[in-house]
This record gives sequence, structure tokens and C-alpha cells, in this order.
Amino acid sequence: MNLCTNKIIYSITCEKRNLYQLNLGYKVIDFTFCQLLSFRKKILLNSTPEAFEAILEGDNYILLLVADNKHLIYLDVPQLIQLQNVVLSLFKKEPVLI
Amino acid sequence: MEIALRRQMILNVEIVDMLNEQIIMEQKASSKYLAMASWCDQRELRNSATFFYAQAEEERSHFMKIFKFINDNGGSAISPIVNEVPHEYESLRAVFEASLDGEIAVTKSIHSIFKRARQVDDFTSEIFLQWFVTEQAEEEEKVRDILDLIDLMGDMPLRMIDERIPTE
Ligand SMILES: [Fe+2]
Ligand SMILES: [Fe+2]
Repeated sequence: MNLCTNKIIYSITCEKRNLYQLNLGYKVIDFTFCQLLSFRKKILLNSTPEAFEAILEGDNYILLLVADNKHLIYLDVPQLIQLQNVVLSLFKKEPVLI
Repeated sequence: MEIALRRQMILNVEIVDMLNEQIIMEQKASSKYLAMASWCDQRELRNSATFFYAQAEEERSHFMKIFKFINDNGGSAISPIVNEVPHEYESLRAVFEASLDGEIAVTKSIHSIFKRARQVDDFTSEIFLQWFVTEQAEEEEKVRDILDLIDLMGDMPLRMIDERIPTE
């Protein structure tokens, strides 16, 4: 079995107006700006210390429906942390694009 | 990326988060006022009930204003959910005291968003919030006046105090 989750480096890029692409390594998800805002909210809500605790006490992962329910993504805590960093840096004045 | 995001939205995303929190707070205020209206209505305190029904509507109009502002400026407004609100009070005075405390908390929250908007150069939100700063000063004063009135009337029967409560 190949375990590759930790090797994937997520990124969000914008080549076209109102098209934001999240590269998860195994797939690329297209977001419009408003979908991106909702995605940001979901990631931030699920990456608080309390949320992490709930995930770790539960199934060790969460499933998130994103981009107007078009995609279902599977995330564990390390992946959530990485996505949180990507999302946070995206909206910084000088975003660090990983 | 900064340019790409700026083309979508004039507002600072962190301020949008705070405004969405404010929407919840205003909805909660609206629900609390509705519960207070119910308390007064059940005790035949007609003027007080009318006052709180009007307050409930007003708080709703406050969050609708913020809701529209967020969406009109490229952000994403979130429909508020509130949990349980208190339905029991010891006295009419306690109802108005709770109402004043609620207004003070809202004022503090508006001030902190205003301050943050200024810090992050979100002038659009800052100007928008100016109306709320003024509004809160009026709201607090309105409740303080009523509390003064209740104090003045002292031991008068509740019904007589209620007759003096402004219904707006
Ligand atoms: Fe309000
Ligand atoms: Fe108010």
C-alpha cells in the first residue's frame, strides 16, 4: 500500500479571473471566489483546537463537501493543518504560495 | 494572488468574518427581545411588550443591513443561527437591565470591528460601521432613560410604570 498523504503539498492558484484552483495532489478542484470564501470558512471552522480534538476522538478524519457540493474531500488533522496554512496565507497581504 | 483577490472583493476578509459574527450577535439580540416581549405580553404589560417587539424588529433590520453590505461588496454573508435565549426574568426592571447589558455588549463588539477595520485599512467597512456606532449610542441611551424612569416610579404598581414606557 502506498501512503502518500504527507508528501502532497497543497496549493491554490489563480490563472483566470474568478477561477481558483486547489491542487490536492490527487485532484484539482475549481472554485469561484464565493465558493473559495465558503471553503475558507469550512477549513477555519474545522481547524480550531476543539475541532481537532473532536476529529481525533472520533474517526480521525472528516469529510467535507466543497465547491457547492461538487466535491467531497477526505481530510485528517495534518492535512487540515496544511490546508489551514494555505487558506490563511492566501488572504494575507503578501500571500506565501506554497 | 493579492491582485486576483482584490479584484473580487473590496473588503478585508478578516473584517467580513467579524461582520458575520456581528450578524449572529444582532440575531441573538433580536431573539432575546422577542423573548422579553413575550414575558411582558403574558403579564399584560402592553407598552413594554410593544417596546420589545419593536426592538426585535429593529435588531433584525440591523443584521439585514450588515448581511446586504457583505454580499453587495463581494463577501459571503452567513445566515445566523442562535441557541437558547433567556425567557424568564424576576421583574420588569430585570428585563430592562438585561436589555441594557445586551446593548452594551453590542456596542463593544461594533467598536472592536470598527477599530480593526481602521487598523487593516478597510475604509469601506469603517465608514459603513459609523452608522452603527451612532445607533448604539442612541440604543443605550433609550434603555438608560427607561431604567431611570423605573427608578423614579419606585414602588408604583407595575401597570402604572408600564403606561409610561415609550412605545417608540
Ligand atoms: Fe443592533
Ligand atoms: Fe440594539
